[in-house]
Amino acid sequence: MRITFLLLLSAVQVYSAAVSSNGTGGGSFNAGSSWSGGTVPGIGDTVNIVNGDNITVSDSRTWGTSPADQTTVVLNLNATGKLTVVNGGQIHVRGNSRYTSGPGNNSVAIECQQGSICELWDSSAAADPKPEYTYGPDGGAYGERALWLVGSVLRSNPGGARGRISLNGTTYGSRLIADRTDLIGISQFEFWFGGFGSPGAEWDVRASTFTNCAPISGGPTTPLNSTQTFRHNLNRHVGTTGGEIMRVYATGPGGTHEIIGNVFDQPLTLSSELGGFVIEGNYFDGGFSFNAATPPSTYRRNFIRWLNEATMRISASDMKDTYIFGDTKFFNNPHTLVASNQNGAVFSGLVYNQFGGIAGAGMDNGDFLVVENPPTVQGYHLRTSIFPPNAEGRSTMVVHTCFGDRPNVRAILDYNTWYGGNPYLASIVFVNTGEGSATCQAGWIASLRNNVFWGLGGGNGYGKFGDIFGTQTNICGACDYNTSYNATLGSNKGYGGLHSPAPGANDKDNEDPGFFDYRRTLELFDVKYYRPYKGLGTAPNWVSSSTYSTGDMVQNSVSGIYWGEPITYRYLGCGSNPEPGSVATYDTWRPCWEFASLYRIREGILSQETFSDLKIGAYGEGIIVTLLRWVRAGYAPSNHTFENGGYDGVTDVGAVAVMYGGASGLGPTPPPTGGGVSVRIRGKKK
Amino acid sequence: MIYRFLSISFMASLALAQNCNQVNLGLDWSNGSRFNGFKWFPGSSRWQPVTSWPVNANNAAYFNEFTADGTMYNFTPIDPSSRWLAMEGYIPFVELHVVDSSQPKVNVYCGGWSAEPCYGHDSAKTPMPIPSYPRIQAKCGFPGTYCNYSVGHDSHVIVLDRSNCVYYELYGTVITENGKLHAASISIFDALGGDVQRPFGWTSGSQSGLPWWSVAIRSEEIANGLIEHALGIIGFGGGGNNTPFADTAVASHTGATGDGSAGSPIHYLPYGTRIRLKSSFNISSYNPQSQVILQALKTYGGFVLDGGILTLLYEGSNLWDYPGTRDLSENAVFTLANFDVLQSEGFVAQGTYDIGHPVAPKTWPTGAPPSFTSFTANSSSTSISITKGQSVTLAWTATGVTPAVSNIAMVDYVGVVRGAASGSVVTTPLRTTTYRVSVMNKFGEGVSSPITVTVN
Repeated sequence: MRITFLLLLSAVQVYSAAVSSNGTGGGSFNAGSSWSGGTVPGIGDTVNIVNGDNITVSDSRTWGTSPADQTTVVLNLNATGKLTVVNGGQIHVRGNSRYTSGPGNNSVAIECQQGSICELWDSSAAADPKPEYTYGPDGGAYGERALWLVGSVLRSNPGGARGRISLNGTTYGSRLIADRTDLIGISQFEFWFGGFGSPGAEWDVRASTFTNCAPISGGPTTPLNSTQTFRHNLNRHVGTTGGEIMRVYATGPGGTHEIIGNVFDQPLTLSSELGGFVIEGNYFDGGFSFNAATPPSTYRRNFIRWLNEATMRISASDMKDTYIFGDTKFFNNPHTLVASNQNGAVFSGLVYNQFGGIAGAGMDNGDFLVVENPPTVQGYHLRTSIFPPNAEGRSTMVVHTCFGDRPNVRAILDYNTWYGGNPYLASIVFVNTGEGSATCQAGWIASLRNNVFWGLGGGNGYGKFGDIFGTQTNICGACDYNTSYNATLGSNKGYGGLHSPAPGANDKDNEDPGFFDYRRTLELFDVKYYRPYKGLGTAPNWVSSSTYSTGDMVQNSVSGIYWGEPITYRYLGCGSNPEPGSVATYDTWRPCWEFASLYRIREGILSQETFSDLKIGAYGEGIIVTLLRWVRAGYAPSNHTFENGGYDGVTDVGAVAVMYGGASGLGPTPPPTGGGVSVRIRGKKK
Repeated sequence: MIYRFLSISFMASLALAQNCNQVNLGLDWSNGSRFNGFKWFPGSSRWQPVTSWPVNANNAAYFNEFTADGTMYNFTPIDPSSRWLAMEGYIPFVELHVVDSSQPKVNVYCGGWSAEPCYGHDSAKTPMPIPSYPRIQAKCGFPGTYCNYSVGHDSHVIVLDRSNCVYYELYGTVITENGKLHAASISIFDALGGDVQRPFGWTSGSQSGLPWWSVAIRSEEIANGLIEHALGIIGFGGGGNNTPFADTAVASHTGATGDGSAGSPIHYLPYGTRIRLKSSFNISSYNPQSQVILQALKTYGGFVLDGGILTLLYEGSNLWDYPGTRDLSENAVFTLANFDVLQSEGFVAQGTYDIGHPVAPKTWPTGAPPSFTSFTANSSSTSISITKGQSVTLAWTATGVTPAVSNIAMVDYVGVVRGAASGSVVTTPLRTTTYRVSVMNKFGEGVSSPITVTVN
């Protein structure tokens, strides 16, 4: 028996009896023969599982005092000791749990098998923070595996205060392996990669649900290496407290680093080194912040719901095929997406739309790509991206560049499609030389080619580009717009007239692109595509006198909102029944109703729902890509003057190549007989 | 020399018994019997048993050629039982998209890979109902995974328009960022036609000018235990430099190498050649699923349609899960000596052959391409004006469409329309547009005079 164990025994004897396992391999928890004194530990006892023993719990077991003592260690797992909770078994630990042993061990501390419940805190406790499950005390040097959860429930707050799970082996690292597990009410959730120099240290959480948990935070002192795993895939986060989901610092290239197919309900923060990270197919709620010197190697096919006027930062390059949805009434000077730390970042294949309208002069639509830090950063690319209108039929996103004291940054804006029209500000591209201390240079826009600016607005709203505060008149000088080709619907070549130079002589102006269906946005996805594809029919009309339950879906049309087209809403259970849809009353109804499409996206991600529809170019695609392809297909021009209309005479103009065919040709294809291809690997745990 | 040109009337009569619309839409093979009995290219010899076809008089000489360097080339089909291999799109796996008239059409621009820039003279130039993000052979993995649109193998895209019964085939396909399709070769086939589909000297997705799909082995055929058509055979010599060069009536194009000049490879068979597994070959020791393929090689044989690694052609499907076929590759116990070259389609390319070696430069039969006797817009043979939103009827009549290759016409900005000798189509131009129509015969393509429709 090790010294550390003796010390611990002497400490806990003050509060309760300490019952140790038999030291001959353990056995069933409820068998006296499994314990050194022949007595099964009771509620007030401390349970010690010694080296090499495996105690199996197959019924409900509770130990620790109630209400819990916040300092007593009631579960003590030593070295290679192991507590196994099998199907039907439950443990209720009302006190601290601690893994204590010497360095270099290689064991599982608690294994909660399928069908088990591991409750690490007491429902009667009242306040946070509460006793913790600690694997490896800070500064210690401990073994590798902390929690191994398969198809189980790990909870620390079945009604009361929350507990803390801290995986902080700073030398040898920690492990959390969870598969199809409910993790509930964990008030502090920490892991530390500092010990990831140790073999096998890893975070591997898959197909699990985090409910009412605190953000997951971790910070290493050394980067992950090629033997180490950070894999957080197919998980659902609900009711997350603390304003963000996860904060990961200073991970580095090598190993398996994945954040794939998750549904988050708070922003995600990743910092420092993200090389080798694959971030794909996630539902980001509230945006994200990637503040990394090294961007993810793969960042694509995500859905981002953006909620407020906070900056959504990204320092990643090559952000591809991503849907960004501004779920807001309006923005006031927002910076939707801020690229920093990167030279030549490429943003391609994006679709950005924002529900909210413009409340009046001074209320911006969303900004895109204000490149800020450091001042030496130069240049970014925005390509093949689509900016559909907002609910009021106005443009939702401008490129706002040359802001503040970043005069050297130059933008390359090619092959994009903008739905223009905003009476308050230049709706598409503007350069701001007057705000801040900037002195923007002539020719600030490095390239402006092959874009479609479908400007339908008035006032400033139909400008291709302009200097809104300063007087710079040649912001595109070096990009030589006269040799570039852009297409605009409008009588004055789409220029807003605010200090813009003469229009490009070779532009294809006043051409109707003949879009197949430009009325395609996230909000309309459920009613216009998802339901017909699935053969679901439409939802019942919203009725003001009805009482709805959470999850109910209705359809409602509001004059002036997306051209009066019906939109499906899903009830959130707010207790009242405001009419959904209006921008003016957004703040009232939005807490009660969400766009049903958001629900479809979330559930589609977690169920790995796939769609096969050749008309939009989808075969076995996930729901995010299907949404992107559906919108893109709608923005395919049918005007063949756009064909080979690019500046090089070979490429088509706009974010989508020209298509031909009947306007009805891009409706959803009914699913094949038998339900089509649908892969579901995310198991249900109960 | 044997010609097997089929008459238009014969094709039409067969078409009456066939309905392209019975083919299931999509690219999902989970429905089992997807073709519902439809036999495309119904007038072609691929549906004819060859058990009684005579052996080519030079049969022995051909195989002497193949073994002249002392190598007996094993016939080694790639194991089709690996669904992952199939779905990764490795040669020889091809996938078929089935669309209908509601599929929007896209332009496909000639010019694919850097190594295969454009076979422009024989590539179609009309909008085609190809999905904007098609699955490209060797560029897409298992369904739902990411497709790499920039690199790949032969990069075929294969589409059947079931409404018009027209079959499209791309080779060397590349998709640009905004979804624009480029391909090194762009081919259109009349799926209601017969063996002869391409003008002399025109290639297709395969070097031979033969369409890929209809001779591919499909997983449902293995499941049903019966293959009722000739198979596709890729390569016949064990390497890409050993591609065949001579041609038959079925094929329309030569290989890029092996032209018989000094130092050129000698292992070849003419493209379009039908070979047959000898009836004496004992297939009883093979797994029953392999026997389905081997029996088809006995009954229907196989066409030599492209160069490369010697193997059979398979559908790219997520349903390949027949371990029984694995012994075709694992137990490569049969060789070319187990096959007979049949006196089947006859050589077309002119020249004197020395058992396949042309000793004189090859030339193709020559003749006049089709010509147009009329091409009108709203019955006017001169330019017309319409108001925006109005439709216009384009109509044509052509002569010289025989010897025929297909009963289709290609209309600028519209697409493929049935009717080579005469036809019409209604379209609604969004802007002022100049239209032309083109049709083909075995000697080439005829293009009408342009006619402009001004949209006010």
